[in-house]
Amino acid sequence: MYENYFRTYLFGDHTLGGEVVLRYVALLLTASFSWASPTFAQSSAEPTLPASSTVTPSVLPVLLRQDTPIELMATKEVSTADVTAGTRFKLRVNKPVVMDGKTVIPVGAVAYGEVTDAIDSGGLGKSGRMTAKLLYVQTGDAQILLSGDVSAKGTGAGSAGLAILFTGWAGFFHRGNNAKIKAGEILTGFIADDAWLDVVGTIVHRTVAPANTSEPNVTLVSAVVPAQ
Amino acid sequence: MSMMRYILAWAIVSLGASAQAGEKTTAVLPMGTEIPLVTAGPLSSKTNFKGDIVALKTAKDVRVEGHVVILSGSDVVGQVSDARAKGAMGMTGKLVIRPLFIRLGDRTVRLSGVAQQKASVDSGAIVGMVLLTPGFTGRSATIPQGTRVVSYVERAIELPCVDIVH
Repeated sequence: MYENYFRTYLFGDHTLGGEVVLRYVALLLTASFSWASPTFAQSSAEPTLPASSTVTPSVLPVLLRQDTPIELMATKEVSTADVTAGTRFKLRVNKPVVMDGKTVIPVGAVAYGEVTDAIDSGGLGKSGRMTAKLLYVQTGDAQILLSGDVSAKGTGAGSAGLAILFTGWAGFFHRGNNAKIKAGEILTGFIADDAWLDVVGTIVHRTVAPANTSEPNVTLVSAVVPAQ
Repeated sequence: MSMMRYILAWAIVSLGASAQAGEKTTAVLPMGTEIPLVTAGPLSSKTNFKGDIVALKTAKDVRVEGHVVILSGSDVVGQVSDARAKGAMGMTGKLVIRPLFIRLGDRTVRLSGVAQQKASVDSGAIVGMVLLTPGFTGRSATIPQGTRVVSYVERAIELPCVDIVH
């Protein structure tokens, strides 16, 4: 009697018992599978995340060509009175560099130069001399190498002979002027090497060249051809 | 066998034709090529200072292997590399300009060269004038419009030929 009761309770009608058992077993298996292996359930959803993240910033990199000119301005006076060879100085980008309609180097970006030689002014009207080279410009988190140099010579010292003529022996102590890169002076530099940049709004990153890009000029520009 | 020969000959001919077509559209402007320039406006040590950007123009067409790559009258950017204003005691003005580059589309032809002008006054005149009038100043250096400046290509560059109509 109890046996029949339990059978009816568990499996319902005798005639449909086998089918119901199969349904229960299938239900239990499904539930236990999803509970016991949640990682598997998640892993099926995971591939959609990188797919969506790669689609959003579909920005083509911009090629900043070698030898592209860049106008810089000295922000502070650099004088042979207080610099020696090896001294670094700051510059400011004076005009934006625009490639393919995108500003890759904005106005105000910081560039750096380095004094390569500095001779202080001396007695008898000897004026100072200075040479400096451009190092790099910082745009976003990319540092782009520059080429170009600048030289300066002290001016307006006058002749020592005339100084002696007017001031007598004191003219021997007449010092020349220091060589200076004056604040506000415009320097022109050039991009030293080809640089691929990712430009998203005002954010600039250095990137690698796209795989499918054919740039025949990149190699030809740097090729050295004998002078005719 | 004859078919293979025909295909091989066709491939060689077509490759040669494409290479020939490529040579016609672009040309490499070699390093050291002389490019004559002229100043686009008058310059003076009175009004121009070191660092000033100055305008120049190409004086004639630049040709490579018979093809024009830079037209006469193209804009050239130069810079005042040294400037000294005239001063007391007969100190003369000095002005030095150097050509920097020619911009052709997205290509840049880098140039080197120099042109300088120094106002000259006889030394005897200086001593005489200084003794008579201590406030005597020298002359300003001037570079008139159309002054010839010789420049040289600093780095070889491939340029499109502009005399070919596509």
